[in-house]
Amino acid sequence: MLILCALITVFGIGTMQAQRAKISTVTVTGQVVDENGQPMPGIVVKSWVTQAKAITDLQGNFSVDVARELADKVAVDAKGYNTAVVGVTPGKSAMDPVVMVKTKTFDSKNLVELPYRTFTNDRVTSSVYTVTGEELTSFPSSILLEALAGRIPGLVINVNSTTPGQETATAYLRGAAVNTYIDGIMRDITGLSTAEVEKVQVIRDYSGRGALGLSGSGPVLWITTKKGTPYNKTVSVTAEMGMRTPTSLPKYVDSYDYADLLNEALVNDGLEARYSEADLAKYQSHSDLIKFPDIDYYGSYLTKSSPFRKANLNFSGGDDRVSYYSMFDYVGNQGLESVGDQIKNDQYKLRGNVDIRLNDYMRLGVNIAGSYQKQKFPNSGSGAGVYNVFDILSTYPSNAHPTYFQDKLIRSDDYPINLDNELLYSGFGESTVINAQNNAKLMVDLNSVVKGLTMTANASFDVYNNIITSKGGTAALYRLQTGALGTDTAVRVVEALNVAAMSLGNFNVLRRNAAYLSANYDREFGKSLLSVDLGYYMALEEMKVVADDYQPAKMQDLALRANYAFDGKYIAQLDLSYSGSGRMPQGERFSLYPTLGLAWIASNEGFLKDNSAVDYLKVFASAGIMGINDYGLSGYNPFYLTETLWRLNGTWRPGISGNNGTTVNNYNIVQAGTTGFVLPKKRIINIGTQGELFGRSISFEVNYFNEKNYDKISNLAASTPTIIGSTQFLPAVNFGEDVRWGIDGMVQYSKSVGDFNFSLGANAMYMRAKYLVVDEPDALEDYKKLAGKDMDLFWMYQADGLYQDAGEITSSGITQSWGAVQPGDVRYVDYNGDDVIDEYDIHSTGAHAPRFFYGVNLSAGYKGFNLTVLGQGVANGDVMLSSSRYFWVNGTKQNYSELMLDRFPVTNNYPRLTTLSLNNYQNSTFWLGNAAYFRLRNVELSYTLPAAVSSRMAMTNFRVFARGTNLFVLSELKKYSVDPERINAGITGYPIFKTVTLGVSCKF
Amino acid sequence: MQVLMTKNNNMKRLLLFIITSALLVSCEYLDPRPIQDLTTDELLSNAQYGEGLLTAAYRNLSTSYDVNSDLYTDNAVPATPGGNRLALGNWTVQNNPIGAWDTWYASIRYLNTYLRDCKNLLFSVADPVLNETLQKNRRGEAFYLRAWYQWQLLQTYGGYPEGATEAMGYPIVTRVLETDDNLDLPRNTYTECVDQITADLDSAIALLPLKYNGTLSWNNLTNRGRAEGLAAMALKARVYLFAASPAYGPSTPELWQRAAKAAYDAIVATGGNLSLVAYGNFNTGSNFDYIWIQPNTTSNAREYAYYPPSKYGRGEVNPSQNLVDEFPLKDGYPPALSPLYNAATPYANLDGRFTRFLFFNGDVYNGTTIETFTGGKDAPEGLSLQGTRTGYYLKKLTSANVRLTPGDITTDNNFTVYLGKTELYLNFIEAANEAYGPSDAVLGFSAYTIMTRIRRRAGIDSNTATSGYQDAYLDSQVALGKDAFRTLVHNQRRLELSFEGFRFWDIRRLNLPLDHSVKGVRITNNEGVFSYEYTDVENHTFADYMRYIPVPYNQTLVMRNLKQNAGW
Repeated sequence: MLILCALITVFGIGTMQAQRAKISTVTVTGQVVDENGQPMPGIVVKSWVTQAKAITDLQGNFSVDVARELADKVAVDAKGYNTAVVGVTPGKSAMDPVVMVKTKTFDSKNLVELPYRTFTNDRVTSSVYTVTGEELTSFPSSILLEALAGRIPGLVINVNSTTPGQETATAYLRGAAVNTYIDGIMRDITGLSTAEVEKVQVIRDYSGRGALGLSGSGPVLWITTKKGTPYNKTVSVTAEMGMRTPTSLPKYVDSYDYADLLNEALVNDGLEARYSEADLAKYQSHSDLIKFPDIDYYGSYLTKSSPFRKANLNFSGGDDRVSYYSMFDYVGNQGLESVGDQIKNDQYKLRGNVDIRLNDYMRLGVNIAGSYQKQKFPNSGSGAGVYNVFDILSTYPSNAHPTYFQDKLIRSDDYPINLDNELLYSGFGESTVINAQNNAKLMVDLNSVVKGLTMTANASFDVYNNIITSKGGTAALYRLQTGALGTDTAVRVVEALNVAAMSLGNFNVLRRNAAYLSANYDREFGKSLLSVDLGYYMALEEMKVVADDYQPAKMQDLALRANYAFDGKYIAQLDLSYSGSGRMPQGERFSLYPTLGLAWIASNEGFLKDNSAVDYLKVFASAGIMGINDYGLSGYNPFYLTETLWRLNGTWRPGISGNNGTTVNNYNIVQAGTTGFVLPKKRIINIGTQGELFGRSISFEVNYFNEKNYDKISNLAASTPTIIGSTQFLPAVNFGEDVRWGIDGMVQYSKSVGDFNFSLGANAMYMRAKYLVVDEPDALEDYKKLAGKDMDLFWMYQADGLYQDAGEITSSGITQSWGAVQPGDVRYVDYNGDDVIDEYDIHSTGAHAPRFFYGVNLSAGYKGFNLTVLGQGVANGDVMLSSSRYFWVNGTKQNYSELMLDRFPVTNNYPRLTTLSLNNYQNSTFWLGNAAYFRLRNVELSYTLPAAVSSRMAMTNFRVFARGTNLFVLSELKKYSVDPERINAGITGYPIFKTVTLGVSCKF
Repeated sequence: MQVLMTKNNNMKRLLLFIITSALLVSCEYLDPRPIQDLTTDELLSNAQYGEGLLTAAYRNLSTSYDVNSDLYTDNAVPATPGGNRLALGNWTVQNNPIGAWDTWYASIRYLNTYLRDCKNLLFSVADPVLNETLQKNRRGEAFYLRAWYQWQLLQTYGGYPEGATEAMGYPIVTRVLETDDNLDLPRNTYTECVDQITADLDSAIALLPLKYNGTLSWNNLTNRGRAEGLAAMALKARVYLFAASPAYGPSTPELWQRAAKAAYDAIVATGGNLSLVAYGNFNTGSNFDYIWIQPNTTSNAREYAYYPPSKYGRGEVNPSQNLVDEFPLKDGYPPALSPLYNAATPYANLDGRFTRFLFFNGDVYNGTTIETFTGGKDAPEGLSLQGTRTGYYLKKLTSANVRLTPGDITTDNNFTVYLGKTELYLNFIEAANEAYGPSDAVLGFSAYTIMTRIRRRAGIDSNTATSGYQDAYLDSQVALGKDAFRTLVHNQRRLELSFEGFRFWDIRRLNLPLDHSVKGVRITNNEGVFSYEYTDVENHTFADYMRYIPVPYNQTLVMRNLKQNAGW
């Protein structure tokens, strides 16, 4: 693959040089204007054959050298406009004006790529939203998904891990996890660089993705990678560097406060204080840091910031016969550990593709992409993996134990980890990930056989490899035995362990083969347009696993799509998917799933045609049904649900040492076989409208969606007595329904005034989800039942402040079932009125997870300056602070956060401290926080040199920029020093980063 | 034109080729690959697989003593305060850590399946006699294990639902239930449950060898850990003892007699009234005083859990002063009555069980002196911040052969005794005393006779001047009659069976007080002279209804006929 990329590069540059040398040229003149006929100054015009460049003057005029005898073409590229390529007629010295067309959100002629066919927007009945790869490059990150947050209505990105090299994010559209397709093949998005993405489309309903069959039952991110544009040779280089700092880190108390707070907690519990006044004095005076240590863990083991680097180089171009694109991309980042070697992560990405016209009716496209990622990290003690230093930083109190005593590493029985040992002497690991995504595509034009027929065949072969090598071990660790003054000794409690050789920790392989074949028919009959697509997709995904019941993922789908448009106004589309599932018994594998879509281009109706306010208006609706193949039922083998299965579950050996008996097998039931089940199903209805108004200055889209899951798979365990045996003795049946509905949409306003142009927009989604049919006991009290209730509700106690004094406790007449209650304990509302607070009082208090998700964007340009701003937020929802040990500090081995300085009786913000009572550590409204936040997700400020200046440096474009991510956040949770996006960030794992970079990009 | 025709033909051929090849690969493409799981037919085809159903029930047996249940009593507290929340007022029907209803019924399902489908399971082709013997034995084991799991259900859930006039047990399930059967079964009466359990035990006794001390492959020592006739008899004695206890109905003489007879029969089957094997390290699996054991394993997990910090353990269980106060002195008298007792050296001259069961201040164990005095290595803020809360650590259940010293870490044989002769003796003593009084030997030997076996092993001798065993205190209590002797029986039972999971149930079945003030000792070291101050460590509070354990709340929601014990 490297060779191919190199070849493309050499070939590209080579021909450029060669052609330039021997072609005789002639000068032609022309003008570049926009759609309204206004001249466009300062635009670069390139000749294809001669590679000569020119810049338009204030009247938009240019004169450029083109080939004298060959059919040359000129390409014009301007930001915000579609690239124009215009032929030059040999012998003519003046060209027709080159008209530049603005890229628009919902133009009728915008291209929408759907499985097996690219439609113009006025033929589409589905809700599809598009973002260009160009927009995403302003987000400096090593994972692509992160850059999508806040840009697409309905799409929510959860960043799960920010550990360098192990960044993961999950994308949810309208509440469901998305599948990604890259160039028409279902593939991992991991390793995809923003620079190689042409566009990202979100397909939100079955009218758009029904053709994918069962694999399209969930939402789809349909990503196309960049290809070369014929007659537009481009070389571009981008490089940026910057720093990343945590958006927030938790604050923990020093050892004096820790000792004081723990004493208070113990005394509150009627236990003895652990630290005497003399001890406390020593913690305060720092006079004996061996016996009374005070370690600022976050300060001692973390650096303030870590570097981020990114670079990209790409070549593209081509002509009628061959076009090509090749790219090299690098991202590097580092961890925050300040002791020992920190995590280092370097990712390299190569992509090369060529598209060749083989003859008059066949084209061949070959697309090869490879990524190589190398990560080095301090190893976790025993297994191969990154050592999670944050887990210790947040749980070890400042006085846990000294790090060294007489140059010996110290641990204690209660706090057995010595971080210096973990980071310096416990080994290291190296992980390399190599991914390759390859495909070849053959397009055959069968117009001569059947008018309007083309066929496409595509085959892909992807490989993902991951090798982790690691070395473990530990240095000798000592326990401090204190005695009279000067007699402290260090006693060895852990022997040094050196793993002599590097161990091959893990080796993983995943292969994904896919092929599709499509026949596409497209004809025009008078006012009618008819297109029919027949698609066949098959795929096989296998990985190296040892599980007995492992099944490779297989897909086999046949799809038929008929799209009919009449008079440019009325569109109807029928999708029929005949899709197979290996999870159904033989003979029942294939089912037919229909989708119907309708659209009305209102703006083409007579009464709107000449309306100056409405430029484009479409109303569309679709309804479809699809099976859900990847259902799961804990412990059951979904591929053999009809069979009663038994599995070896270990062995047992009677006898005593020296007289051991024969080992016998233990067989447990896997599942009771079932009969007559069907695949679970999902029904999606989408009704929407989109349009452009007021001279295309406003574009908008609004959708209503309603998605119902039904015929779910359940074993009815919650409503079946367990005297039957374990739940695995219950056969699976179709049971369970839920529904999700909501509204999503966007609006964008753009305007130019002279040299100043700006665009302002917002997108949002409001979403609800409800249980309809749930496996739950009939006898369950109504207020405990899930059926009919929202799925995102929090179930908990209703808190009623803190008990202020003993009198209040006795007068309440209520028993709280976690032992004796004291002033400062949370007082709960007796929901069922039985004078006892227990599980019967847990109910849905109405609090729920966020339901409103939005993004706002602004871009403004003045001459060469450009500013883009992206904000993203959530609202209308709560978060349980109890999910973080930062807020719930109980027990005697917990570290106290600074928040606990604010407890009862000092204030009423937190309950009294305790090491024993569970009363305050119940999920209750006391621990609810407002989940709403608004985050300045991404800012880019750039300056582009005037073309006249950059062209003197042999560049068509030269730009310097400053970029930032997560620059600030507005949230009520900020006062706690936690990140509202993930309140455990920096506590249980890596924090969320604020990134600031500077960079340059040039095009040649 | 000619050219175009050829092109068209090429196209058609290409099209045809693509379509046929797609169809060719498609036919069986989605078939899942075979998996290694067995179908029911395969499972039952051979004992190698089918016996796996029986093994499932063996593997569901507990692999440790229920030490935790002692933390809910006056025997001990956990090292971490709050580790026994149930005893501190946090016990609700929806948050009940006692019992394993689901697992026990799952085991019963496996056993019922085995009993139904595996009667003629093929164990040996070559040896038809062995084949038949194993078929018979395994069937007996299935009956036995079914009784065992039913016993767990009965011991745990037995109690009185609201308005019940007699104690109720659990819903008896002796056949394989399917989803279309009526699953809303009511609880059977306590008596019916006892009858079903003992009937299963009788079936087991009829099918099983008495002990695995034979010479053949199916009855030699290699079978230890499997159910045997003696275990069935001992379990029967235990079940009858509980059934006679006041918490489950009127303690009639007939019930005590039945319990005494069952225990007597079991003792006779073990060889009669014999001395008990001395306490060693609880590590000799071939010792037949351990009637039914978990098969032998090698481990040091218990030592890590219970050893004090200076022995590199976590000291998780802290025995109480209340328990220490129960130990008699070497002369057999309780501290208050013994001339050997000196409050300044309270641990001197206690009977042999004290040093074997507990780590205490000044105890020298494998060369290490245990220091639980304030400022000592094993006290709070010594080697561990936690330290002991009571002044003691648990030594019973651990082996002196295990060292945890870094660089010198050893393991030892380790197993759990499910049924032991000590318990059997104590069961007999209690039942015989209630039925016939301490010294009546109507069955062949008396409660007193068997009690001497217990006391003698503890090293009690009230007159060391004479040769042989003298036990003046025991004799005096026997002379005082049934009631005085009962107190001694309870005292000895508490000591002997401590930390083996008995105390929690004994308190309940004998209607003893549920609430306790658990005590510890604070020891001050004044230049080698220790002074002792006795303190309250924890108060255990229970409501009266907590004598009986709630049946699972989630099951009462799906089984309308499953009546909850009153109060929950």
